[in-house]
Amino acid sequence: MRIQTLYALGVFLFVAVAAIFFVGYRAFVMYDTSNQPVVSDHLHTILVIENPPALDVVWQRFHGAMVERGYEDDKDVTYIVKRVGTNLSTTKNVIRTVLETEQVDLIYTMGILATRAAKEVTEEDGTAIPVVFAVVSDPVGGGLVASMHSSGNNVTGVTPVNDFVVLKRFEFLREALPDTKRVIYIWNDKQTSGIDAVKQGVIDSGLVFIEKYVESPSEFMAFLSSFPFQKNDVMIRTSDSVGATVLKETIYTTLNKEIPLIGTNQSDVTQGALLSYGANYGDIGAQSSKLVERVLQGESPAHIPLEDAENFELSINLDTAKILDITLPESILVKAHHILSEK
Amino acid sequence: MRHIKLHTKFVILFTAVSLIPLTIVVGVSLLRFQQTLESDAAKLGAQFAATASAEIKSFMVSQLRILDNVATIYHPSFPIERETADQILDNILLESDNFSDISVLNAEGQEIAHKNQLFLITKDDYRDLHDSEAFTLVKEHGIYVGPLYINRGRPFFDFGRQILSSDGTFSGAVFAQVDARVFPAVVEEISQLVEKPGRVYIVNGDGVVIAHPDLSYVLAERNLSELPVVKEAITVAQGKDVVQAYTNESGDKVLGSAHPIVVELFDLRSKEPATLNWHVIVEQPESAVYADARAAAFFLIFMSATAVLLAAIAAVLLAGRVSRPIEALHRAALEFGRGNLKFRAEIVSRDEIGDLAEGFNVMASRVMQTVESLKEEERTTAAERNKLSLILSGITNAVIATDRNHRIILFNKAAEMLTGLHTEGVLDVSIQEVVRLFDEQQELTVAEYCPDADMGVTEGPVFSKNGLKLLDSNGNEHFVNLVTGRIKEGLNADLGCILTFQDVTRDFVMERTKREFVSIAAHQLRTPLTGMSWIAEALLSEVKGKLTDPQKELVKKSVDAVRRMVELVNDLLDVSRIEEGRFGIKPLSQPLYPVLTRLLDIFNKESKRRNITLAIDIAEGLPDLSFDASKIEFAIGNLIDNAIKYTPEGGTVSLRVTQENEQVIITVSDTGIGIPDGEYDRVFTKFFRSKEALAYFTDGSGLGLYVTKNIIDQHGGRVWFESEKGKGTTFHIALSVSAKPSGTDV
Repeated sequence: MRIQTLYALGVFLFVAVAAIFFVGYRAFVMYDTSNQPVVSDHLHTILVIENPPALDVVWQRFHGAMVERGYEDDKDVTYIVKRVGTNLSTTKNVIRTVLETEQVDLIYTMGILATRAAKEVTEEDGTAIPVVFAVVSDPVGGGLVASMHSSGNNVTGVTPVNDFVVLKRFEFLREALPDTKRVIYIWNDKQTSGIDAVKQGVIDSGLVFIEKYVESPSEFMAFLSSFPFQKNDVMIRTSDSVGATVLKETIYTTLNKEIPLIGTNQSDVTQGALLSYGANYGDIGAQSSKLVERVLQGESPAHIPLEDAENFELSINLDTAKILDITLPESILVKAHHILSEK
Repeated sequence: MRHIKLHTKFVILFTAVSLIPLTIVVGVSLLRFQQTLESDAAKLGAQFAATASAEIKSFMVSQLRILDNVATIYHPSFPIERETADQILDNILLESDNFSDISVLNAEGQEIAHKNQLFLITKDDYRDLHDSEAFTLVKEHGIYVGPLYINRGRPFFDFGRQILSSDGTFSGAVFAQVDARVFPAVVEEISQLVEKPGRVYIVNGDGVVIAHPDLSYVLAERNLSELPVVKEAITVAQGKDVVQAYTNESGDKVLGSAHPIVVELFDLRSKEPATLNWHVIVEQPESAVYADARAAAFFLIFMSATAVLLAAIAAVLLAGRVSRPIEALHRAALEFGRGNLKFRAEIVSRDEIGDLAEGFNVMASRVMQTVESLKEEERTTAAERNKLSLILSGITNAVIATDRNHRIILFNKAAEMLTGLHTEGVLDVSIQEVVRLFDEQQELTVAEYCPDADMGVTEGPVFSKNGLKLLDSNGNEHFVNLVTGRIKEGLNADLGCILTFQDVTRDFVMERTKREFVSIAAHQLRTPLTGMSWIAEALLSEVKGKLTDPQKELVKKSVDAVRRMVELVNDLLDVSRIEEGRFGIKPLSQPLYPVLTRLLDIFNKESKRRNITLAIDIAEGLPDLSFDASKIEFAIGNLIDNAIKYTPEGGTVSLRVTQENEQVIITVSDTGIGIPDGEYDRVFTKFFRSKEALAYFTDGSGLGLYVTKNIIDQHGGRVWFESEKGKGTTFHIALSVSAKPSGTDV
């Protein structure tokens, strides 16, 4: 056989084989792409800043929701959980220490303090590590983000809109305790506490509104311990960091002083508050996992709209009512989503 | 076009023959399969959309039922306290997962109850909504579904229901702010069923996204009406399904299906159902839709490629079988063409091609034989040509051959010597430019010495002339004898004349010198001889004194000797005149008798002295002849003189003159010594004397017969002889009666 023939045949076969491999490769790649797993094979590291303890349920539900979404611990995602206090600079130091030693893909925060600390650390250090928060009321007013539609920075999250529902709590308080004369409100953060709205609402309804600004949990407790409560006084718990930090102590003290305490969510009621109305924090944790997933998949937090909590629940602790010797009207019991009664 | 080998062509042809139908089959199958998949995908999309539509419908219906309940308790005639109704409303709001705000309006559009999930609403906050669009529409249609809007990151729409009294009169309305997250929930749920990066979303009548797995689309109120499927659905389709393949705004290639959400919310008392002008869009990634097609294509193409590969291998083998005999033949032809005449085609197959190869081989053998014999012939011809050329160059005569146009085609060595020109310079040159010939002073034209063949002569000599003058290239004169010949066969070969020049310059010059010498010598001798003769005659006449007899005898002898010398000199002068062409005759018509009489006077004495009988027989009545009397007298006298000289004593010399027809014949015969056989030819040449003559008679110049013949020739006559050695010789002169002598007036 002549060289020319071999040459022609060679070229022909080469082209044919190349074409086959090209088409085959394309077909294979296409076919393969459609079967790609949802979860990336990359091992993500999430720094979880847990603060205060009242938000434990958020972390638990968030963790559970992540597992449901297919992010297995130590296989798809590693959590570095840090519990912090109410001091902003301490919290920032904790975050900074972790960021210096670990390759963190995302910071998951609960509460306004941790979120602010994470935002400031990333801002000051010039890193763009995304921050996803849960349970921060009024993040726009608090200066965390530019707007609910678009944060404009590395922060996004789910808000419980406590600043709005605080008046709604007051409405349920009125219905549950029609004899109420004075409302006591101890606050630290203007935005998250919704102080202005609640003050107006209470005054409008003709009741006495007693407010106290505190700097720290200790100041909070000092005021609470020394305040001369009277009959028909009701305390509404604030949802700012200080209030959240001393939740247990607040419940304990008010129970001791037989003062009804209106909480923010079901967890408060579980721990001993008489009544609560607000977003389900656990649901917020689960809801926030959706945002975390989008960030881990590569979306910029700046383009992920912040979300409001979806489910608002009325919870009542009948045991606490019994301790306080209060008989709640039937109408409120009918409305309640959760009624706790162990005895 | 580039030369492609037969074998390659066969391979390509055979492979193509297998490839083309295979390709068609594969192509058609894949196309059909793809169409099937496409229609399946469209069906799947329709099902997804229907599911979404059904879920949304069921959601809407359930929300409507709740509103119906609220409408019932706020019915003016419903037996319930307003406060209780408000409590129930509060309850309903708290229990509902989807209502975040409910308000109840009376027939005048005034809020009579309003509850919000987050906010505290007091009576002071109640609004007057009688001129709102929602109130107008709900009053008109019974049901109101407002546009989707986003509030604090969450989608909502307003849902309204009229409150009718038992007599059917409008008595108010219930409005609810419905949390529309069920839409994203539905689309997200169904999107999960679609292969990534496919998606399911809902657009309103303007193409604005109202539900999308990615909430940001909804929040940003993205308008996707530019996507082909959305565009067609909202503008053209009018409630029908649409399927389109396109690249969406994220750059994914998808197959999109659009389906209207048909939610008919019947109000028993209104005739027309409230419908939503929304569309569910299902986008399935092309890669997923065609994944099976691709897998099938992969398999088919792999199988096809294998088949083609096998076909190609088969083609190579088959093509080899078909083309090998032809290639063998081709190789043989090539080799043969290169000159390898002994190469023979290999006979590979026993078919037409085999026969062709055999035929080729036979032809090759024949050609080889022919070529061999041609070569042999060529060798012979070359040798012949070589020999011929050698001969030509060896010929001392110059030979020039011309073609029919008088152009030189052959020019031998001698011709080069003659003309002083080289062969190379004269070939193909007209002969007239090379050779200049003069006859005396007249230049000869080519037409003269080489007349055209058409003029007649086609064979043999056509021109012959001696003593021509030829001017060579240096201007030197040559004397040549030219013979121009022609051969018949030459005409066909474009052969004109063959000119042969004999260079006689040397002979010519020598002859001329000799003649001049003789002439001068004769002239110069004549004067002293005349003197001597005169002196001798004077002595003999004894004018100067008496001579003794012995002295007289000596003087007498000297007188004879001088007379003979004068005769000789006269002969020589004649000869020289003849040769120089100056021997002119002056013909005159006259009778011959006076000449004969004078001769007889002279020779009678002589013959008597020699004791020889002179017999005379002269016919009577001879006609007058035109002749030069002195010359004819010399000629006839010479013959008689010779006859007497060479006839021994006692012999007879006879002169006979007769007329025969138009001729006068003069015959002189003797009984002398005769002329030997071998010397006949030279009888009339100059200075000829036979051995017998020399021995017999020592005197004699040998010029007499030469002059005689020239005289007779110039008279247009003829002279000849018969002779027998020892018995005698007879000379004849024939003079024509009518002939005009050719002599000149010199």
